[in-house]
Amino acid sequence: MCPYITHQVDNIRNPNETTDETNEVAMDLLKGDPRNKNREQADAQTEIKDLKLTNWLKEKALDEEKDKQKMPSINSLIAMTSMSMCFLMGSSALVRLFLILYGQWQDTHMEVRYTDIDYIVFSDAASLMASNSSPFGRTTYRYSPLLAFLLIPNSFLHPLWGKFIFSVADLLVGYLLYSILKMRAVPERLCLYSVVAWLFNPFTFTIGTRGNCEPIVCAMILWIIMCLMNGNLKQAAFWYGLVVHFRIYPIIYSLSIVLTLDAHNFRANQKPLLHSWSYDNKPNISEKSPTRETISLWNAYRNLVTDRCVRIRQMITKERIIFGLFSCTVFCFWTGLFYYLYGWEFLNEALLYHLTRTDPRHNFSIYFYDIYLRHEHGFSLVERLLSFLPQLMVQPFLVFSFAGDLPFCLFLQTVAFVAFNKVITAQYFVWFFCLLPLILPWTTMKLRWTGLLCICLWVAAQIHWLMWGYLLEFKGMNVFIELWLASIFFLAANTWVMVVIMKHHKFLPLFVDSKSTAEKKID
Amino acid sequence: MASHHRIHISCSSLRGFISFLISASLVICVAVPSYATEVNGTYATTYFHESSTSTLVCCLPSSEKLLIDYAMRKHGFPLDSVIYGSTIVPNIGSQEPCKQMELNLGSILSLRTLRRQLIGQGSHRQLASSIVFDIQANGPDQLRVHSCELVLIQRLQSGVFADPFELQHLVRRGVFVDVGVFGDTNLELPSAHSGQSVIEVHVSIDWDSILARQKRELEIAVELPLHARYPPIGEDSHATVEIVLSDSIICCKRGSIDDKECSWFGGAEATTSDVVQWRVPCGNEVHSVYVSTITALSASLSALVIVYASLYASKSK
Repeated sequence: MCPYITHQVDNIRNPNETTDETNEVAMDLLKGDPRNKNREQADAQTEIKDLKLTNWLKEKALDEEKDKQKMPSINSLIAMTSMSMCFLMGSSALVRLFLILYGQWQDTHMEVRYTDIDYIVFSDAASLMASNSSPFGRTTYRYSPLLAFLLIPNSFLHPLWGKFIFSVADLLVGYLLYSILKMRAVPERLCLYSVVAWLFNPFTFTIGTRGNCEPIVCAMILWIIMCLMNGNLKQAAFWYGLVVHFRIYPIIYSLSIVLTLDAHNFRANQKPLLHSWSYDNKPNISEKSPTRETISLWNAYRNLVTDRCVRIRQMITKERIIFGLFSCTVFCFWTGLFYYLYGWEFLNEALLYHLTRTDPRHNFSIYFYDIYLRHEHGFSLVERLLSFLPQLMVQPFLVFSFAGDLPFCLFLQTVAFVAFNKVITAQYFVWFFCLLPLILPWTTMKLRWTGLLCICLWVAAQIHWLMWGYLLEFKGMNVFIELWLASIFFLAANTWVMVVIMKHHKFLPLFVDSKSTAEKKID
Repeated sequence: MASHHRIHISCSSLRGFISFLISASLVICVAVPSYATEVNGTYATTYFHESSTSTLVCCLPSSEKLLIDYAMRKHGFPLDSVIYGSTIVPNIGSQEPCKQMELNLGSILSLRTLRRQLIGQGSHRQLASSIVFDIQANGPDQLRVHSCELVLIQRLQSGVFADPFELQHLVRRGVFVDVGVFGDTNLELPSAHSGQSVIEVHVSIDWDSILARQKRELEIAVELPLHARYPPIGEDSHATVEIVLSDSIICCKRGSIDDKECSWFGGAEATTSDVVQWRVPCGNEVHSVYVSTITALSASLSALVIVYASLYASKSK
């Protein structure tokens, strides 16, 4: 570098002046001996770039110095943030306690009950179990006997026991979300905002306080993610086998979890390296915007399949085998135990019913009206398989595209699974709400206005459907076509939101690829 | 450039969303008033002649709570005959009087009118029944020393059902003394895959307050919550479910541990005017083909969009 420029850089005080001085120096160089003009021009341009980079770094350092002077000390910062999380947990616990007590009052004094009918089903099944009878003696009890077992104290302790358990699980989900985000070094404020998306989401706190058991499932799934992040493979496998027994839908996560357990990323009994959140990670929006390129769907699919075919051959690893076998064993153990105790009734009600469930009554699914119109004649095998095709198409693509970023992959899989399901009820939304906070720190989507648009569109689509559903069910109007069209619009809203989330997500694998890290170190 | 592109997407998305809201509002304003709710046939009044009869049904032991349940177990009456029979009496009763029972209800009470009305709208309604008995001159003195219940037995077609758990909740709240639902109690299946059922409801009669009014009339109001199943698809916009005439039985006992003597009150066979009609919206078979097609296309299109977006995002990552 030119000594004159070097001297200037070393004596930088005012960044603005430095930039002007640098440009002047560059011009001076360019006006030099014409015989060396080209070489000097190239050198000058390189030196200008170096100077600009140096200036930018120095500006950044000055800004950080100013920020540090404004920031309180680390200890007081930790104290403040702990207090904030404690405050969040405490206030959300109070909200849930209030709702449980209010629900009790409403059930007693008003005709319309606050408590979900499912809670009454659980409680009745639990009281049957307490008196040594089968919980499946209760009509419409279609869950694992484990749930009835958990609620046995409803009979002898207090009828609200189950609601407290579900609300505690709800709070546990908030705590697990916070812990998972902290393990990935997400800044405190971002952690708290993300956790608020669960703790103060009206869907979630009403679900638990009305007596729905979904928070328990959500807590188990987050615990599985946490076990994987800590390298506790067998523990993760145990809980995965248990949660699939408890509620079948997590079976869709099997492939994505197995793909994540790459030999380069994950070793049993070793804590894997995690990709952390970082301020300097620029978003995917860059000068090379992908919107300028023409994506050939066929080429992309071919490349993906080729890439994945190679990887399939490398898929069989010790960790994957351990996870698969252990979780299968746990699932088979619990299923076998309850089959021994309750026979075919258990298998039919708790497992097979969910696999073959088609409900002609109106629900958010686009299939409800088709099922109703054909319920007297039934569906042929081909028709049943064709109706599963969208689900079967979407899930593998999502898995193979995003498996590395496990929380994001699980979130998308759950949204797609719910959207294409034959039956959709409001409680299913909790399945992906518990994963949403895990992806928020990695989205470039701003609340204003894209985020708000997504929220409003999704909520508006639901309200639109609910309006027609109300007219059908409570006013007796024949609005089947309108309701069915509202279901299609809801599917469109879900699809659009998924696409926007994918577009704005900063893909970051959960685990660090130790192979590529080692190669980089050698280089 | 990327930020401009993002703003462009956000603006165009916002415009599209606002357009949707406006068009949805127009659809609602135009469409809703053109649909009419059903109003006819939701009430029926049955007048009984002065010569209406009462028939001794059976003596219900004090340990037994429900007539139908007792009749099926004790006398082996099949449930189908109770559900599908035109009248309840020969199907549940043994016509044996209770021992040491001095009350002859037939000479004290006579059924005058039975008014039934379907209250509410939509798929969840209440069947409000108002039963009026005439009390004979010699009635009050005898009735005061007995505790009696009105037993209402209502047969329901497959298109309508009562939720046993909801009725039990009403029992716990003290609305009914006891309740039983027999037959097909499935809450989820549509009408085409369901069977008929029969409800037995016990309502306490408070003679003191009734006789204190100094009217020789016993009026009892019962409200039964009922729910409509999805009817079979048809050509009309609504299917009609008929709720037939219910049976009224009075069961009385003297002491708390005594058996109850039950007498059925009725008259002529039920006529069409005694039927309450409930019109339930049903699917139209004309929609079948294009609903299937558009559903499949919508699902496929959404799936393709998600697949394309995931490939696009996967490539750009």
